[in-house]
Amino acid sequence: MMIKKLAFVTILLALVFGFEGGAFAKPTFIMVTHSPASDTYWASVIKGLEQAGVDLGVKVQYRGIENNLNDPNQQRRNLEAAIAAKPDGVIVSDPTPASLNATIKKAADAGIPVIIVNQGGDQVANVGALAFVGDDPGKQGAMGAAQFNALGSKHALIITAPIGALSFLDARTNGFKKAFAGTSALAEIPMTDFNNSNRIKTITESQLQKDPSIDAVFSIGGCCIAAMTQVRADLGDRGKEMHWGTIDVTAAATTSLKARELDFALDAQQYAQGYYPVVMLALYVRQAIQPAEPVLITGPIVITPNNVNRFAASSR
Amino acid sequence: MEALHVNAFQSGIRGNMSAKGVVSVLARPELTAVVGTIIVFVFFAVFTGQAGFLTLPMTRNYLEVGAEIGIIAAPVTLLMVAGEFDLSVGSMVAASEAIMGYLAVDSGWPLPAALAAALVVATVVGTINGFLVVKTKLPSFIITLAMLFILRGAAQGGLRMLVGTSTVDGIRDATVGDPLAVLFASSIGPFSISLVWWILVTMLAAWLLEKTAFGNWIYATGGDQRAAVRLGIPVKKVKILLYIAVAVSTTLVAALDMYAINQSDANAAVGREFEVVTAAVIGGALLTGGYGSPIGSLFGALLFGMVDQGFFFTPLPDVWFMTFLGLMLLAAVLINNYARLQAMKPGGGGS
Repeated sequence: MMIKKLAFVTILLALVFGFEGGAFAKPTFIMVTHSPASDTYWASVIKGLEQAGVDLGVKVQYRGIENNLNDPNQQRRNLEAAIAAKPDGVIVSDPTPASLNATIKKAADAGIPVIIVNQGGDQVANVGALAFVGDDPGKQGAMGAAQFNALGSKHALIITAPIGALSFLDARTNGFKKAFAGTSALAEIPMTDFNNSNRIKTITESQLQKDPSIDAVFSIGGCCIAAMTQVRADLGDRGKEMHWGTIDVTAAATTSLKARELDFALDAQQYAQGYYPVVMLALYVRQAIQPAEPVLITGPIVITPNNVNRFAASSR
Repeated sequence: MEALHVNAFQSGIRGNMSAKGVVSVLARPELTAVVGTIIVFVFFAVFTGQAGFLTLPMTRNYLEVGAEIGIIAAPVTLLMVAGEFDLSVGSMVAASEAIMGYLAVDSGWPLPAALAAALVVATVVGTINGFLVVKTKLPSFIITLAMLFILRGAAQGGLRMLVGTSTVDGIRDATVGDPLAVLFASSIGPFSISLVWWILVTMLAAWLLEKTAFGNWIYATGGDQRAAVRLGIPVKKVKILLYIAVAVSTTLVAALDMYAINQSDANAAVGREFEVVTAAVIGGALLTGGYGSPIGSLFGALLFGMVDQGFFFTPLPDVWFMTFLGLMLLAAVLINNYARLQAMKPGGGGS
């Protein structure tokens, strides 16, 4: 009796899984990046990735790094594991081409279509990828500078990580400095304090205390928006006379824009960096369509108090 | 060691102004911590006072940094005296922030309910930590390290699942008008209310350790656990209660931090456990247990806060921050150690 029951259940399970594995197999795309899933910027990318999976009927998976941003060894190992899983497509960020290109090429050589995402836009030909969907951090910094130039700021403070810590933040900072018409100073937040909004606030206030001629503050990313908002509130009248802007848009930034306490926020639209690669891979796998342009830059666009309401209505 | 401690205490409180008396007062662990902190303060006042270190807003800031370390360092000191570590405190701060932020802002709960929920979770986590440590007799280092990872992942993953990102903004607007918010959001004069909490928690911990039977139990547990058990001291209960106290203190810091910056962050307080233990050690706590002082830890946390903020007023390039911090901490412990050894030399003070 028991054996009969067992046999029945086993056959049933085999049918279910066999069925699933066979006729209805969905394409699987794996995204391997240099960021933990908990990072506020990448959370939006992952939302885009997952929504694209739902909309297009494909399986998507995100593999990030557990602790620090940008550990090339860990990312390389994750990529090798992803290749070994024989997915139908791989989406990978390439912040350190010297460390990662060899492994990305392995994916392309194995016949897996590759899209580079977020960083590594000039590596498409080197690794045999289909295309690049991402950011140009230098342009983001330059756009921020252009906003401040239009507002007439003369001496800006950039809240950023220590130079050399994260290459895309360096690119944003350098892009800003080149394009800004005035002079700029840096508030370099030590990496140990980088996740601590309270300390970002106190360090920024120290820099503003040291230099009363600063009339504009630029935050390099979502890390520092809450702190910057608080700094403005703490400075009282001086804060109201200064100009404040940031890269990335968070809930705090949206509230500040609506209250006209923030002059602009640059939206990298990184949700699109999760969505477009899935579209490209799905078309390639199902319809053999290849991207005609090697580079697709997703942003940034400028959000100001005048157009913030339309932005806030979206859910990314 | 214990006898010297008691004698120094007694001659200290008699207000003995002779050299012997003053020096014997310095033998108290907390007061040698003061020496290091005063020297660091003088350093910053002299070299960076002009640049702005001595202004009220900057003083408020380094006191805020000191408070977010010191409020946790006080019960952690008691735990270290009892011979155990808790490395999960940073993650617990983040978990408390995530819980309160989500409940108060996204679910519309009133602040007292959100706070109560976070306190319940903290108590449960503290109980689990304590229970695992006393039942398995494994090093608390490993158990609480595992809890560090579990809590951090839970805070990040939980918040991402619920709100799609790892931060929740707008706690102040969500709880505007709530009388309880005053306890966490206001200022006392030019200083943040976190300063008041910090002093109160430290005094409570010091009173508990020095003036109550429970404090004696803590000393005995850390000094010689087997003897303590034979004396009938409920060593397991002591440790579990201390773990709960530590976890509750992290919820307090979470509330204060959330209101200071108007944001809950599941990535908050990374590395806080490290800073808290450092503050306790600067304050005289032994890593091997049996000896420590919450008041000393207050000065340790204050020193940390001063260095963390004062550095930016020195002309050094920002990239040298960590080296500077390490050198200052090393100098502080060496000075404290020297002061304590001098004070306890026979003929120079002590008994």
